[in-house]
Amino acid sequence: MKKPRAVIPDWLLGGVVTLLLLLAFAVSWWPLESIEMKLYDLRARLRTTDQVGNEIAIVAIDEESVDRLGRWPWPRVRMAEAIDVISEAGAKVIGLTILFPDPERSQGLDEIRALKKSIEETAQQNVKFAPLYAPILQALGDAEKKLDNDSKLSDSLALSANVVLPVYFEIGRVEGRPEGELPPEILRNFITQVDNPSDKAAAQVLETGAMKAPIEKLCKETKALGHLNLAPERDGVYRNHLLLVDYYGQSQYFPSFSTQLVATYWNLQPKDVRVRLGGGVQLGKVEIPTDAAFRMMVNYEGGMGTWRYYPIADVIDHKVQPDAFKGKIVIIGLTHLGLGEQITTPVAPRLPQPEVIANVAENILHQRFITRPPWAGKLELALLILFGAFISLALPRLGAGKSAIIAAALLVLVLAGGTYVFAAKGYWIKLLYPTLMLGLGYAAIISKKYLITEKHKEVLEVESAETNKMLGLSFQGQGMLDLALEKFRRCPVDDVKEELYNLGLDFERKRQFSKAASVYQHIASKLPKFKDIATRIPKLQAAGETIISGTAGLKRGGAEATVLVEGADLKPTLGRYEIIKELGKGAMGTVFLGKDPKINRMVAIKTLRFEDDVDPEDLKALKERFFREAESAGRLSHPNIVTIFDTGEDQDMCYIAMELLDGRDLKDWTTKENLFPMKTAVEHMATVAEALDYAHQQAIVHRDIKPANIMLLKSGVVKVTDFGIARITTSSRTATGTVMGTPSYMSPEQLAGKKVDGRSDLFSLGVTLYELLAGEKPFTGESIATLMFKIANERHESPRQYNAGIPEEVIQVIDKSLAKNPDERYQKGKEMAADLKAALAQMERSATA
Amino acid sequence: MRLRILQSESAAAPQTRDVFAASAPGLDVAARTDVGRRRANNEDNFSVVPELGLFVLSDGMGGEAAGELASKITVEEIPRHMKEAARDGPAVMGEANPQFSTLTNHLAGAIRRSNRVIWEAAQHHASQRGMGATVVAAVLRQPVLSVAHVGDSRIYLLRNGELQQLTQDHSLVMEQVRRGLITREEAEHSDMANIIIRALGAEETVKVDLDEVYVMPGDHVVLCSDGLTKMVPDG
Repeated sequence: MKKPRAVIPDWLLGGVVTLLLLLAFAVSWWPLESIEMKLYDLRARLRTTDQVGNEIAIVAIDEESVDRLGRWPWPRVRMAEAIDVISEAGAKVIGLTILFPDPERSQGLDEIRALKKSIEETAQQNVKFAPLYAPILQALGDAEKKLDNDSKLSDSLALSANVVLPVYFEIGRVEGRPEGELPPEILRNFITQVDNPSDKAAAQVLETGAMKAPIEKLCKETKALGHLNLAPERDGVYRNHLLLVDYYGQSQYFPSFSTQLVATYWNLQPKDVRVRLGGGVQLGKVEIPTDAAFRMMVNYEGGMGTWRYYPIADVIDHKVQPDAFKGKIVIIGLTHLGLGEQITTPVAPRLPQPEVIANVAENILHQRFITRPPWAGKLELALLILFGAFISLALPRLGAGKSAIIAAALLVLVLAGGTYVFAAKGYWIKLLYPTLMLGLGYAAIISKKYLITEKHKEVLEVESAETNKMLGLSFQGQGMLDLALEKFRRCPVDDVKEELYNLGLDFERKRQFSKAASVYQHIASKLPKFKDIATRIPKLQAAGETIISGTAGLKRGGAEATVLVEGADLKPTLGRYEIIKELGKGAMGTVFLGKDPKINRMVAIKTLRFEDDVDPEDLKALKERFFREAESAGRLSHPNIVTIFDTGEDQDMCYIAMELLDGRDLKDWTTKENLFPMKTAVEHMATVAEALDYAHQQAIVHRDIKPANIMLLKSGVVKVTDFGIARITTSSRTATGTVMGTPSYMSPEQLAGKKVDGRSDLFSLGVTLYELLAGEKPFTGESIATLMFKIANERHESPRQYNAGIPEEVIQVIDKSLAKNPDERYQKGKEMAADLKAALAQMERSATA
Repeated sequence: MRLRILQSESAAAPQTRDVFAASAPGLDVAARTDVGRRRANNEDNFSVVPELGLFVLSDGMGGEAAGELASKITVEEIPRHMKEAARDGPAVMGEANPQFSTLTNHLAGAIRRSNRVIWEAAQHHASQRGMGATVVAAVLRQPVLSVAHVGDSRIYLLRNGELQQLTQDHSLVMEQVRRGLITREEAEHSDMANIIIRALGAEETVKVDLDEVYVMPGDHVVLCSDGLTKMVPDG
């Protein structure tokens, strides 16, 4: 049968959260990725260092230099001057990051060239005067040379023979083929060695369109060309460096500026540069890890000024020490805030371009890389699934507190671990997704629990005023006014004033005027002006006093007592016994104090009622059984067994007349605060064991041995009561059923419904002994089912844990009598009694010793 | 859907005492209690509140007057509580079980309330000591039937000719059967067949067994006390 589900199961909620995050992870959903980037930047700062290698120096075109040398752009001769100085100082590689795509425009130079040309033409036309023009042409030629900065620059390049110049590409996929062929000086820069593990990977390299290169004159004299294209992330932060790009998508790979700097520095030949499709570039002996698009993650070594700046003006003025540049990679670039390109990086908001170039070169030189290991994606996926399972399955079961601790621990573990491997090894693991999984998942499950349980939070405590009011109303509805009043009294008067008033009226209807009055007075104590109670109270108080005692006595003794009391004159009898008064109510029926007029002896008369739906034939059979049992119990004549005198039947009631006992049952001595002294308890149990032995020999089993069925008389004698009767009355209960008391004393075979013999009594006696010594039962349970299970299957706890002073011999008696298998117990009560007595003797000896 | 409350119907049917028949939209109700051939009086009681879809059956025990009183309290207090709950409050008496709906929880609270009333009354009046009652109650809010019980009275669902017992008796012999100590056959003939291990009025608090089931048009639901189940076998 399907059950309706009113709530979303926790695992479903957790599953949905997991799936959503997995989806976002799979498609690298930008909003989450951007947060991951922030985490990346934080971690990137951990990898900065104070010490960079000394292979790189930056010659900066800075504010100071511009101040001194004039407005930018400078005549290119300045560049040439700088290069000459640096080259003389012995630099290994010079990276000039300024692109000169067009020849320098100089009006003066143009004029001189035009002038020269026209004079040349004139000279040709007037051959006779040619020698006259020669010096002019010479002077013009010199001036031209002086002004031809491009040539000057190209000469410097040629002289230094180790300069790298930049190119720029138009990024993006372009259909079609390039316009014209590239000149050889450019072509020689393309990477030739390409490994091709899988064709598919080729599609991932960034494609470009047209190239913007320096002028031909300069290109011819460069050592190498490298591109200066940047690939910032969507948030504008430059974390990746494009090591190479694919020119027009023709699988022609052009390297980056920084790559060329390092390749030149290391004197690499073209064959020393290998490209692995799918990721990875080999530069000489160094393997640079990249992704499939040949992007290398830049490990920023520091913020601005990580490398020393040498203002170019100082360089040109020979103000810089030569060993500043000796053997180094010197990068010339714009650091001027307004002029140069400022790049946003994880470690600094603005970094001048030369520094970024230097950073990349440094990374390659010292192999300080940040990578995303091939197993990173798998690890992240595994973590996601693991955490997803955690929040869906474990979290709901553990509850808010415990799972918070575990989730926090996992979080710390992941974050610390991720940060550590980043800082120490440069591994970039995406930490955001697992973190989110834990955080979101936890929040989702816990808030769901909170919201749903909130609905049921409004639970009434059993003793709350609300409950008392409800019970009061119930009792009132059932006509149990006293109980109703008791409940209403526990509520604030204001809450139940109406109900109290109605209760007062009910009392009045029952002619219980003084009670009604006290109800109104209770209201009056807080609300004296409520309705008409002010006038009612005095009237009722007056009425209450004139009540005749007869009706007032209605509650005491009279109608509640017994069906036997008919009138005031007749003396009630049962059989030949006079009924004096009621002694109490037992489980089976009322017990009366009676008198045997023949011998003038006071007796206890136990009555038994078969008031249930008993068939006349069955009733007869039951009665026969009852008398038989009573008779056999009557045969028992033992000082420690209650003596049965007589049984009979009168007015459809069966009765047993027995010895009147003046004392209390042993239940009173079963709490820790009120235990027998140990010796006394053992003594009593030994006595009972003897009595049981006697009964068993008469083939009578008690079946209900427990403290309540053992009496300690005022005279100090111990008597066992209720022999055999227990069985009869059980079977006399038919369809209405009887509520079972706790079977704490029942033996395993009794609980299983099997036939029982004397040894079952001895088990119950063992339980009783335990309880008298320890103040606790050997078998307890929250429900009857658990209790039954324990009695049948689990060993009892040692009584020593409740009472350390129990001697070993007694413990052994207890253990033996509580054996689950009857064959392992005492077979006869006599044996048990003997062992107990021996233990007693031992106790005496130790006491006196 | 038909809902029938049957109590201690015996094979031959003399002295039918109470007969109840009613209709609510989509609901036919019939109830009958029968003294039976043996008893002199009847400690069974029932009540039906069609507008709430509430059905209560209780079997009292502990002596004639006491038994009748216990079952009377039960069948009166449970409807009272359910009416109050429908009117006022979200609060449930006793511990709420989040697996079940608020309505089912209110039914449990109603049963706990009557348990409390019976128990206190028994403590208070010597003649009522030992009185108790079983109860089986159901609330129908289409298409869900909320079922609650304490004791050995039962609810059956009859669907497409198949009879299914929805409740588990809280009797000693049933516990033995559940534990595999005896078979159902032996249980029915056991000496201890009448001993109940959970009842209203036995202790200050009581644990109520709850269930929710879907019901469909054409279903028969039968509430009955043990008199019937003894007389009429499951087949």
